[in-house]
Amino acid sequence: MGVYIIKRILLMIPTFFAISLIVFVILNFAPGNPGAQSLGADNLGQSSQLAGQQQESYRLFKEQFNLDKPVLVNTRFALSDKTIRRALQDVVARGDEVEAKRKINAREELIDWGNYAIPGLVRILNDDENRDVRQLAAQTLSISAQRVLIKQYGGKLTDEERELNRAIVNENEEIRRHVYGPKDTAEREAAVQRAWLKWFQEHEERWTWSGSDRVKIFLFDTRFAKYWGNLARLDLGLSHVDKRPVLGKVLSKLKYSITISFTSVILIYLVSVPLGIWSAVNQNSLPDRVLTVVLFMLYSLPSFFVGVFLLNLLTRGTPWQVLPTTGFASIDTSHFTALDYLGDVFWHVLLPIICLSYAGLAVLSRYARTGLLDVIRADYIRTARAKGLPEWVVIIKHAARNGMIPILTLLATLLPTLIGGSVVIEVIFGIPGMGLYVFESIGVRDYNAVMAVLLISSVLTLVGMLLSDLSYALVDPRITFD
Amino acid sequence: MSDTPDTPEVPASGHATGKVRALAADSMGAEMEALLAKEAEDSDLTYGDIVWTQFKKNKVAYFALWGLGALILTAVFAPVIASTRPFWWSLEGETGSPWLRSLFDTNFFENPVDLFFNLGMVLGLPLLLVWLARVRQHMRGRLKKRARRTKMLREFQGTVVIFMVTYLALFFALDGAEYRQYTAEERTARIEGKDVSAIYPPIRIDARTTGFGSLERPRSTTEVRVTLSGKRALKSTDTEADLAALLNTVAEAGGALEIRKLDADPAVLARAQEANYLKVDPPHVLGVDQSTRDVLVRLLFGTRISLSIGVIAVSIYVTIGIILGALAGFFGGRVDLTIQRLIEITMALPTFFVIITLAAFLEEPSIFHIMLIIGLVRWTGVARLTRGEFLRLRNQEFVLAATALGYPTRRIIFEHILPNAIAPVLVSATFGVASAILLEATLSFLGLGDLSAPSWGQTLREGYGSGAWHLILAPGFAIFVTVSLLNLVGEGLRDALDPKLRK
Repeated sequence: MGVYIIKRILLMIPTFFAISLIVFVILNFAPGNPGAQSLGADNLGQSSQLAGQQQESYRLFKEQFNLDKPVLVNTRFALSDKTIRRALQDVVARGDEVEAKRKINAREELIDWGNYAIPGLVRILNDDENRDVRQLAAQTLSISAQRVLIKQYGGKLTDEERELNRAIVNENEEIRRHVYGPKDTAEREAAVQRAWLKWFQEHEERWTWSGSDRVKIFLFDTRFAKYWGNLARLDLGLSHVDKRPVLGKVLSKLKYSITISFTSVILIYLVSVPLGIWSAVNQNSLPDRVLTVVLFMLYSLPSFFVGVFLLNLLTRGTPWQVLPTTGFASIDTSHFTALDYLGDVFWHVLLPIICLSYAGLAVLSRYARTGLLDVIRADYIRTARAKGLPEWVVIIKHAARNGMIPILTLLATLLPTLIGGSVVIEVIFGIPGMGLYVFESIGVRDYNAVMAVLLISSVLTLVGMLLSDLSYALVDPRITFD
Repeated sequence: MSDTPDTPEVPASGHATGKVRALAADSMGAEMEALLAKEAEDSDLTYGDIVWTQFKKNKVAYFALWGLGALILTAVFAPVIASTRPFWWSLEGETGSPWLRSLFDTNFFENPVDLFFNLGMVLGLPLLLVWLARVRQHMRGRLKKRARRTKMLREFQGTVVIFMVTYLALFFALDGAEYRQYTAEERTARIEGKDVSAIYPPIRIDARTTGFGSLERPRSTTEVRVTLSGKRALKSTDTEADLAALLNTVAEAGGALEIRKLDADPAVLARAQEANYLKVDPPHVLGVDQSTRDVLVRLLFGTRISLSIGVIAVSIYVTIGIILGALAGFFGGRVDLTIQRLIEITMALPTFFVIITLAAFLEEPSIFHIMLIIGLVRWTGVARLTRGEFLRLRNQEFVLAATALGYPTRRIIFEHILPNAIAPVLVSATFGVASAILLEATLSFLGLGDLSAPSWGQTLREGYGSGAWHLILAPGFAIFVTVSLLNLVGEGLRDALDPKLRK
């Protein structure tokens, strides 16, 4: 058993890796860029001071979230001058020579290439015929060539590192000055060109990559590698929206979702097991038939319809207003006693829990019924009766224990389903749980948040699958995994 | 539906009746031969026959199947029930059927799904009838039952191919026609005293028509406003004299009159109606939605969306699932291991989250995107079922026989094993259609679906936003009925396929 569990857990790692890869690819190749709106209208070619600053802050934003990196593999060490020149030309093109969309893309490319485009940019700065292109090349250089400080976000620095940081700051300062505007003279331009050429010759070793460097860049200077690097340290990144760690936010949301889904699961089992047993014992009686029909109808009712229906019926005054409309609790709960608070929460989550549990209840009751019917005609039940045991002992102790095995093992698969299924319920009732969070995060393209929720719930699913397999062995000693 | 699903045959069920019959013909009389022939016919029952007989015993499921048929017919004939285009139109020598033209007019029916159903109505149903007639012919013919079945199946496949080819050809060839408002034209023509006649469908509304009634007073048919090119409006305070004056003005102006709704004096209305000046709103049986579109008509056309999403999404994942499951089960070993991993990975993906993420990230998802998304994430169940069946069947004698005969692997997999493995997949597909319909409705409800399609979930979303009861109950009921019917049929099918329950 122990070996089996360890084997399964070890198998989970590649599975989880594959899932993260799939989810990552889906998220990162989806259209729409987070933060892209912060880049203003296309006046970049005209190089106003403002546009430059905007570009710089956008670049910082992208760098912070690794959005400037290619998604899976990085081939930018082989970036050709032609590609760079093309992008520069497209950005500075006037009128409708170039489509607006391509213009935006070209600008994004220039920002994303960052460091890798520098050799090409220096060459273009010195030999291109178009003045706009040269000017943009200088401007891009002054942004891309800046280096990031070591341990920028805190952490102890050694003297050596501090020295290095000081050098970087000085270099960045200088680099930032090597630009010129459209009104500047040819002498100024020549000076800038010379300055860049000199700077590049001094630091050329930074762009001469060996074979192993290239492999490293190819595989590891990518969004996915960076993400996994952080993930290994359980760092799920910052939210694009409020720059706070996503993990903490998701965990704080999780308590609402878990409250609702756990209560639903308990409710489902509390009701469906007795119901199933009762209707199996009274098989084919009128109440059993009625119950079967009712449960079937419940099963076919879409939960979001029931949710909206109950919401409208009971909370909006059409015709009744007996329950609160949205939220997990009242807005101001500071003056509540613990008991008051509990009651308040109860009234708030009553409808969501009903909506979340009725369908599962219908399914599980039917499972319980068939489960019991399967065993109730077994020989050992006849034996129990023949021994003269009272009927309830026969049913509860002898039949039900065996008949309920299938629905016990359903427990493990039920939880992830409930968490997933609660999105629409949380949206309808405004419960600030994981479902609502992921729904809102998708809307604002908060990749790290969506990614975190997807990964956490797939871990839950994997664990659920394992538990489901294990529970077979737990409740039925005949099953072993060895 | 009239065609029973692909009828798999149990290989070992054929008896050596031919030999017995030959013996019988020799030694015994004609009476005996007739008896034997009957028996041969009985024992010639295919697996499909057995299942069908069993299915029919379950009355509820049987009726649900009819209900489903009715639903499909409703979807197919939706434009016959509700359309703004007249079946027949004649105005000063211009005659024709704008309705027929509208069926294949991409400006009128923008959605390819509508095109599909329209073609189904015009071409599909006649083809089906022809096929049914052929089936009758075969029934009377002298072919043996099995040969007959094969032939009928071939012809059915042919019919489907003809239909799909026509659909694809139309899909690329069609264009939009000029938009005309026939009701308004007719009114104007009448006022001008022109010779005009038009026959309309019972409901003169289409799924996109807006501008009738209001959410607060959804059923109103008597609120009318008469305006003359924006210059003069008839109000509830207007008297008959006002109307008379207005009518004179209209007559002088050449009779072009635009009429809209608002409160008006009943007497004035009666007078205006008499003079054919009045545009009477078609009754909104289920009221209107927030954009003042008719709910009933939207539900009607929504049937098309729901059914096609359900069927196509499920077809996609059944295809994927069958292929992968068959490969895994048949070849075993490394292939099996790889596919098992793939199944496990896809199963551990939080399906619903992935679906809403994908749907939201496609900037303008069409319903084909939704179908594809659902199809691509939900195939694991079918793959596991098929794999299990293949594992069970691959060592049976008929497979060994086929292998010994040197049949190519592809033929063994798809023609010998698959027909025997398909039954549980069929059951799961039926439930799958129900859950795909639910899923699409959920997506539309969350506002992530195709906004241009009249989906049920969208109407429910409006109900959630506005709190209007008719916008909650009507689509909810439609979804409930459809899902129930499918679940009932699925359960009936499952029970019919279960040998334990066979009596």
